[in-house]
This record gives sequence, C-alpha cells and structure tokens, in this order.
Amino acid sequence: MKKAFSVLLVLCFLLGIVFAGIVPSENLQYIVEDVHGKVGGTLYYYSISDPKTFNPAFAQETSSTDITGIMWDSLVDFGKNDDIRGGNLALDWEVTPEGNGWTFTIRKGLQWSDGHPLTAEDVYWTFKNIWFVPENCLSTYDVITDAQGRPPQIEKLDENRVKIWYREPYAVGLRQIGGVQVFPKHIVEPVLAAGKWKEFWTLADVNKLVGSGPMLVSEYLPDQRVVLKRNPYYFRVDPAGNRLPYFDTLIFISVPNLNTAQLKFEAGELDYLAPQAAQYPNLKAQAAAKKWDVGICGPTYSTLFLAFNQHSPTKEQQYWFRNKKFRNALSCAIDRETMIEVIYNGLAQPQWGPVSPASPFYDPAVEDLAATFDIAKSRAILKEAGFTWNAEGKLIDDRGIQVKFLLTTNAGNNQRETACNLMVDTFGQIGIDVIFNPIDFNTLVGALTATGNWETMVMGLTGGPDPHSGSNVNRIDGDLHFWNIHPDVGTWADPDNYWISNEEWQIDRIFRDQVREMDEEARWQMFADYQRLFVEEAPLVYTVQALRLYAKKAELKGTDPGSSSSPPILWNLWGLYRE
Amino acid sequence: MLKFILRRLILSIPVLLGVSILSFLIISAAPGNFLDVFRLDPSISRETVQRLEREFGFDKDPFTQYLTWLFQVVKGNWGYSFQFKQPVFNLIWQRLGATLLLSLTTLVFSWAIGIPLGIYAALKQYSFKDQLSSVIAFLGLSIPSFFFSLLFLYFASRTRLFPIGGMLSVNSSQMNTWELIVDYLWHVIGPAVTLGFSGLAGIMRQMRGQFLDQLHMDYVEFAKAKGMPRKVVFYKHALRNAINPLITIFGYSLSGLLGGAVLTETVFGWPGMGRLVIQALTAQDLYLVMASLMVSSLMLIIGNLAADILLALVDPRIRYRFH
Repeated sequence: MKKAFSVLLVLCFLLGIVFAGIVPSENLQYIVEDVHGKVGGTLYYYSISDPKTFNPAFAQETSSTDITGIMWDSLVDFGKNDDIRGGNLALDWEVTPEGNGWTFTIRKGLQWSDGHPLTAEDVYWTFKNIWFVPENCLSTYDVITDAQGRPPQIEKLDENRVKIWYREPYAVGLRQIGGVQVFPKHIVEPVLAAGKWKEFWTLADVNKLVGSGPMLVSEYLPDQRVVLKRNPYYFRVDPAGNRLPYFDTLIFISVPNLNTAQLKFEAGELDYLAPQAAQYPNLKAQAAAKKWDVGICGPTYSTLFLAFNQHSPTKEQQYWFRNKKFRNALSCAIDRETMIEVIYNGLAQPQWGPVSPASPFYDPAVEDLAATFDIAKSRAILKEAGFTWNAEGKLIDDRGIQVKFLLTTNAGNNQRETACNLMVDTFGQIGIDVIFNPIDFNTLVGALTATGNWETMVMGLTGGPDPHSGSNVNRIDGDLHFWNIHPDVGTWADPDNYWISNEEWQIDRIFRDQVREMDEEARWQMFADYQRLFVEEAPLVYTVQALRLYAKKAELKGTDPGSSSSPPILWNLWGLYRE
Repeated sequence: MLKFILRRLILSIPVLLGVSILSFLIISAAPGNFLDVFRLDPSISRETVQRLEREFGFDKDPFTQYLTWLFQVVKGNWGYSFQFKQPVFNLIWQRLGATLLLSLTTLVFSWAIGIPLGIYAALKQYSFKDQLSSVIAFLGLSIPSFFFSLLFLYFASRTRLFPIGGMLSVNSSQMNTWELIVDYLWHVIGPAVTLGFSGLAGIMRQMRGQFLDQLHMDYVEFAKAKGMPRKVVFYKHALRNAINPLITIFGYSLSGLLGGAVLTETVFGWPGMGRLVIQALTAQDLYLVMASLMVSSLMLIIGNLAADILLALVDPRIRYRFH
C-alpha cells in the first residue's frame, strides 16, 4: 500500500512537470494573440541563398537575418509594416520624466529554450556587453547610437525593469533600442570572456543555439535546407490556451534559382513563393484551379532614383546639375508609366518622393507635386532656366555649351539597365545626348564613396519605416550625401566650389531637429516638410517602385503579408497554421 | 617510374606558387573589396567600415597580405571566410562530398555511354543508327547546360519521375542507410545527365573518329586476312590503339572533378563547390577564393599526372621511354 502510494506520488510529480511544460504556468505573463488555428504540421519555405551565420550580432545579409530574426526576440514587437505593435519581451514601457529615455518592464516568467529564466538581467547584460561595444556587434552599434554617435546608457532598476536613456531626447530611440535582440547571459557570458564571441553561433554551432523565439534551428545542411523546430517555452498563446506557434517545424529549402522555385511551388513542394513581376500573370491565371492565393502585398521600401553629381569631374556639368529647374525638367522627361509596363509588367507604381507609401510617415500631399511625363512641359521649364536648342535640336545652355552627360548604373541589373535605356530615349527627345555605360558594382561603390568619378547615375538605396534611417544620405555632412558631398567628407569636392541650396540647408536642419522631437504629430509634420522640400528641390529624381507580390497555398492560413523587411509572411510565424 | 612521379610532384610546387601569386595579384587589382556592400549601407558608419578594414587586414599592402596568407597556408591554416566566419577548409570539406558525387556520376555516365556508342557508330559507319546517334550527340553539345537543366526540371515537375532539384529529400534525416543511398542516386540523376550529355557527345565523336582511323590501317586488314576472329581484331588490337588520345582526355576530366558546374548546380540547387566559389567571387571573399583556386590547380596537376601514368600503362612505346 505504502509502495503504491509513493509510486502514485512520484507519478503525479512527473505529470506535473510534464504539464508545466505544456500549459503556460500562472506565473508567465504571456501574450494572447487573436488567432484560431490547428496545432501541428510543417511549413515549407524557401531561400534564394544560404545563411552565412546564426549570430544576429554579425549577420549582415537577409539570408541570415531572416533566420536569426526568428530565434531571438527584441523588447518591442513589430508588425507587418515594421510598425510598433506592442511589447515583446517587454510588457510595457514608459517615457522617462526627462523625456530622453524609456523604462521597460520585462514580462515575468519568461524562459529561454533550455528552460533557464529570462529576466531583466539578460536584457541589461546584452545591451551592456554586446550592443554597446562596437567590436562585439557588426553595425547595430551605429543603429542604436544617437545623432552624435553616442550610445545610450542602461540601468537595471530591479528584477523586472531596465531604464535606457540618451543624453537628450532621441525620438527614434524606442524603435532602435526596442528592435535589437536579447541574448542569454548564461550562455554568452563565458564565450565572451574567452574571447570567442565572433566565432560563436556560426553555422557549425547548431546544437549550441539557445533563444527565446517561436522556433530554433535544429538541423542545417549546407546549401540544402535549414530546419527549425518549435520552442516549447515560447511566451505566446491563443485564446484557447494553445502554446504558439501552431506549426511544429519550419523548413527553409535552399533554392538558388527563381525558375526552380516556381516549379517547386507549382508542384506543391513549397507553401509560399515571392514571384517576380514576370511570373505573376501565369500564377494568377492558375490560382483558382490550383487552390492558391496570389496577390499584391503593397509597396516596398526599395527605391530607384536618378542622381546628378554636383561635383562632376566635367566642370560645365556642375553648372547644369546645380540648377533646380534643370533637374525638375528632367523629372518631367522620365516616362514612369512605360517603365512600369516594361520593367515590372504593370506591377509597380510611380514614386515621387524619398519616403515610401509603406511608411507611416508618408505624406500623400507629395502626389500633388507629381511630375507626370510631359515633354512639352519639360521644354518649357528648360526654356525658363535659360536653355535653348541649336539647329540640330540639341539642348545648349546659356553659355552655348551642348548638354550631354554619362549615365551609369550597376551592370547585370536588368531592371536598372532597362530604366536607363528608357531615359536615354526620352532625354533624347528634349535634345540631350546621354551615353549609357553600365559599370561593375564595386567600381560604382568606389565612385560614390571614394573617387567621385561619376556624372549621373541610376541607383537604389534601402529605406525603412522611419525616415531617420536616411540620415546619412540627407545630412549635408553625411557619408552618403553623395550628390553634393561635403569637402570634409569627400576629397573630390572642391572647397572653393562648394554650394548648398537653401532647401538642402532646410532638409539638413530637419534631420538634426527631428531626432529630439518626441511629439509624434510634430515629428510627422517635420518629415512631411522634408518630403515636400525634397520633391521641389529634387537632388535625386525618384522614378518607380516595385510592388511586393505573393503566392501561397490557400490552405495556409493566418498570413498577413505587408511591407516589413523580414519575409512577408513570417513576421507572424506564431499565428500561421494549415487548414 | 617512381622517379618520374617524384620529379613531376616536385616540379608542381613552383607551378602552384605561381598560380597563387597570380591569383592574389588579380584579386587585389580588382576594384573594391569585401566591404563594398557595407559602404553603400546607410545604416553603417564610416568608422565601422574602417574598423572592419583593419580587422580583415585590408589596410596592409597586397604583398604583405600575400605573404601572411602563404605562411598560414604552409602551417595548415587556410584562413577564415569573411562571409561565413568559419575556417575556409571546413566550408570546402562540407561540399566536397556533394561535388565528388556529382562529378563522378557524370564521369561514369558520359564515359560508360560515350565509348560503347562511339565504337558502335564506327562499326556501323553511315548507317541510320550512326546518323541518329550523331544527331543526339550534337543536340547534347549545342543545348546550353542552363537551359537543359531547366528543361529537365520542367519535365520532372510534370511527370514526377525525378525530384525537382536538391540533393536529398526533405525527410532524409529519418531515412536508414539504404534509403539514403537510393535518395542520393535518385537526386543525382538530373544534374549528372544534364552535365554528362555534352561530355558524352564529345567522347562519342572522338571515339568514333579514332576507331575509324584504326580500322583503316594496314595491320587490321592483315589480321583479318590471316583469319583472326573479328572480335579479337577490333577489341584487342584496334581499340587499344584508338583509346590512346582518349586517355589524355580522361586525365583532363579527372582534373575537373572538383571544379563544380556552377550553372547546373544553381538551377538544381545542388550543394556543390561551384556555387560556393561563385558566391565567394561575387562577394570578394578573399581566402575562400584563393583556397578554391589552389584546390583546382592541385587537381589539374594530379589529373595530368594520372593521365601520363595511365598512358604509360596502356602504351608500351611510352613505357619504354622511362627505362
């Protein structure tokens, strides 16, 4: 009898441990997401290139960050358009009384994937030893430093709260601080002390991965697949009490060629495909019969613009390129509609200003300043600016010099090369001789950042939801203010021949002031002014912007693709399920 | 014979040194370096890029960089990949198996079919079957491997007879050894056939031409006149002479074993060395590129040596020159 009783006791004890792992304990302040799905199954995803590392502090390319972004969490949760959605590891936060920082309350009861508790100590330690130390993280240090390049400070207030603050109010700080990931101190501290942080969590360290995200990598076959399995301690549940994610496994199959990816999707081996504009009509036509959902996510943050070098090595061009009316006239001579048809099969939209419609800071008033394709208007503006045409119909300036210049872009990029060819044609219609010469990417980078040896260029830069990410580009002394580089930053700019327009001064002012503006309305208005100034001044003439497309199996539910920088349907991996 | 091999191996060292110097020079002369992508990223400051330059050793002149690399290689350290932050040797070793599997299968496919087909075509010269095999051979020769791969994959996706790319099935970790071997072979058929087809054409035509040359020689007519059975004349005497130049070609094929076929690997998603090297080249991942170049040069030297030895084994005239 006694033996049976003790056996029963042990059994209940064991069952209790088992259930503690399955059902969230009362102590855990979990997040309840409004999703209703079926537990189980495998999600088949794909990637064009393999990850290069599993360490978020050193991951540079999206093939790696797509996966590390799943394994570790940040304080703040971001939604489908990279908008701030709520707290992630943080339960809540308050702005400090001085207005220069935030006090984060960390959720209680969190655990790492190995069962170890996740507390404010991990948060404090990660910031202090990883993100605040430039050698221990690749470029994130630049992201969380303030406008003067100074990192914030952190203080652990108690077991559950940390305070992070800057010297002065730094508006975009919440997004920056809230977006970096937190690491397990009990795992990383010994590694850091031994000086091995840089070689930790490489692709060979699959069995050393400990994170807090919905899934963790369990298997990696080079150039073939990455397999992620559910994290039993993830802190999200659905209203029925099921621990999220619904899927047990997520597999990234390495498919380096887009045609092969399409074939695999059509054969049912992949659940999702990000089609190119050329593949889209075919997929759309088959969608009903094959039970797919095929559609448009919306605009992205990518850009495509025409840039004029105001310090062009060909001296007479500086005179034209610095003339606002000249740039505006050329903007009217760009046939954006044809670009959309030819390059993107109609699956793109014109872009007028530097901020994407996907961003919450986008000001629709920019569209009123749109420079629609109008050769006659272009000629009229040029005439106003003092340009005339000679007997052969070629454009000449008021000094009698014929207007011609080199146009370049990175060789091998079909979309940009086609855009350039279209521009050569339409600029020819207003009498400008443009010679198009694509060059290799590395030479291009050298021209932009080291030699200044370029005249005009069609390029794109990545953007983000907050225009602050373009500070380096818009500030007069920015490293990437390449069209009118400051003589202190770029040696090819002649200090005696350096001129900044009134509008550029104003834009520079806006970018310096907006960092301190904590009032969201006021900050939005500042960026609205920025967009208006930029479109009027047009140092860069924006052309078109591709729309993001998606194709997925209809049985895959819970997807909500947007313009976020991570894979469109994986931002809410925890809420996906198969019907 | 042994002295010959030893002499060749010792002579190969200056060749390898020369290859490494030239490669390093050319890569250093190419504009930009691995950090160019970082330079154009608005979120990375100039200071960070400069710090990384010092870390990766780009601030030293190419000569110092080369010597540092050479000393490390001699000690057995092939360097670190900038992209993967892993030792270069590990990266190459992981993909070695896959590359060898593909290239050996391709070799077997093209030679096992090319030689008999060539002999058959020669024996039945100008017949319908000869013309047909020539047409197929030229078809294989003219279709570019990239397009052929896509055709094969399209065929595979429609008929489901073959997998759509990749090296292993998704559930391969649950397979036992026997199923795993079958899985590998099932997946390698696609890329091997694609790559082998154009090689097959060349071998077939060569074999046919050489065999025909031999068949028109006097000694063959003499042997036939003396009453020797046709099988003995053809396969013991004529074939042995005809195969001579093909041995040299075989040696060159051996040297290409670890080269990898980039386009085919990319389309099929085969995890071979070709894709690794192209990624390294595009990103200017210096040590990875150098390591793969040295491996290819080494294979070329070994392949040539193997070809010479094989030739000596087969052809008595050459064998006697060694003595």
